[in-house]
Amino acid sequence: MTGLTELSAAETAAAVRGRRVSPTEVVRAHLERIERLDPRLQACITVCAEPALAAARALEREGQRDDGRALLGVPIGVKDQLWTKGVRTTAGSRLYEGFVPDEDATAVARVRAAGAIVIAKLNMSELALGGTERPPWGTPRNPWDAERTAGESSGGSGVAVAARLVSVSLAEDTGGSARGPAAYCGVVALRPTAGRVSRHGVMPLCPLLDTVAPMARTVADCALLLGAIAGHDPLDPGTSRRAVPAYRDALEGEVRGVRIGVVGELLESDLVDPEVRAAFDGALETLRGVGAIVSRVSIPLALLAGALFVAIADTAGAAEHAEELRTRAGLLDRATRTRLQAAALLPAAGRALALRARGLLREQFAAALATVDLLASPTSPFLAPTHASVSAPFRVAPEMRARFFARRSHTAAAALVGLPAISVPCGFSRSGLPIGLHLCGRAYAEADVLRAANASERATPWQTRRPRLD
Amino acid sequence: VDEARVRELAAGAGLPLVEAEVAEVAVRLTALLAELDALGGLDLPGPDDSFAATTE
Repeated sequence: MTGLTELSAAETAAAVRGRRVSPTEVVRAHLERIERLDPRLQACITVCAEPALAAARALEREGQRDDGRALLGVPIGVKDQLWTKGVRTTAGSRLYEGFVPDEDATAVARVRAAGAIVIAKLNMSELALGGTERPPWGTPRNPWDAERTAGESSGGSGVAVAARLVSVSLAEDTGGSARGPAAYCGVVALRPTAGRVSRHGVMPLCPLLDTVAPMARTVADCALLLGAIAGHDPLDPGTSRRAVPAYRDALEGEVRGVRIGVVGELLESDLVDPEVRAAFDGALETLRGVGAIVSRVSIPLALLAGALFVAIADTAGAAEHAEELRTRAGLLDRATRTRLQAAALLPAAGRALALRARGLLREQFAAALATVDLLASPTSPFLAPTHASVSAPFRVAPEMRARFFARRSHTAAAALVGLPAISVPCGFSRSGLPIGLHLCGRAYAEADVLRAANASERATPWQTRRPRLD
Repeated sequence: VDEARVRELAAGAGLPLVEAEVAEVAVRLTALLAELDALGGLDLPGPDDSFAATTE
């Protein structure tokens, strides 16, 4: 079978179950692509070639039996923030370059149980913060334009999925760390409801907000991956005991009559790039075309969400790494170091104020979602910036609003209130850069979010575009 | 927050800084405090850092 790296995860699993292809062939095809393309894309920190081939051979010895495993033989990448038993897990930092976990993160264990094969640990911004100037394992290159950022902090996941180095990825999203890279790399990422997926084995930035996030080239694959990892975990007391719906089945439901509220504050800001605005307007027309009812809603605190996120998450990160900041700060990248140091010096009253404002933000989301079913906005107000503009030192405070807080506000708002949200491609700029549509739903309404995103994906050609890498 | 204040705060916290980076730390902290200033005057609910209450 040819074109194995072009198959969706669902198609790969079906082909393996039907014995039309062997898991070894699938793994080898992806490893060959990694070997050929990753030296310039820099999406991988560790390539797990031998363990992956061994896992593939084990599936073959079992007879590739059709026993309901949803990800049978699917090559998966894992953000290097999630523990992988016996495989180095660095969190993108020299602080952890020798750390080898003796167990899998629960999400990793669950995808393995579903038949997936881990073939690479994927590059990321240092300590999941974003803005790393010189990542120890290289700067992930956006496959649509190597001079542009792939997004933060799951940049390697975005690159690897878009470039077909892996079929799907387990990314992580604290305030937009999966949805941002998905928008910039032209793929799909879902941040599940807080408590839907176990955080056990996720190296923490801010445990209050850290969330494992499936990333894929299609909404259907995202649903497939979510179904494999969702559900209660005794090792994470924060996980819900609610039943896990059949997310793939829910994709086929009706979108007609779904009420979508456009978050006015995130669209009407003067920071929104005209090309992003045009693509977003096109996405709304697409959704109207499939029967959705679109209106404007207000989340007055939305534009402050970036700052609230930094006040809450960065201070948590500074506390998490307090000892390293005192004794080994020289091992950190400049941008990571200054960001954590600034957070460490924020008065406690500042964090307390942000937590109280989070309560108000939650009330505003609840009020909006009492009138509509989903909230829509661009995933990022602008196109993928250049690497230099993301990591350059900040010289004056006003510069931070445009370069730092603005993009984070678009994704951090949903994160702060713990609601499920997705980024799905909704167009391309004239220069060929992907643009993302962001949809946020009510708690545990992942199926609604996925269904609307799937309707958008099916009605547009964006998912079929692929970066020119060969 | 000027650089002198950043040095003072860092010394109090036992946080070593790279001298060439003090200015950036000051800018980051100043920008964040300026954003949080916008919350002044809002009628905010009581302290809340709960996790489950967000969604359950």
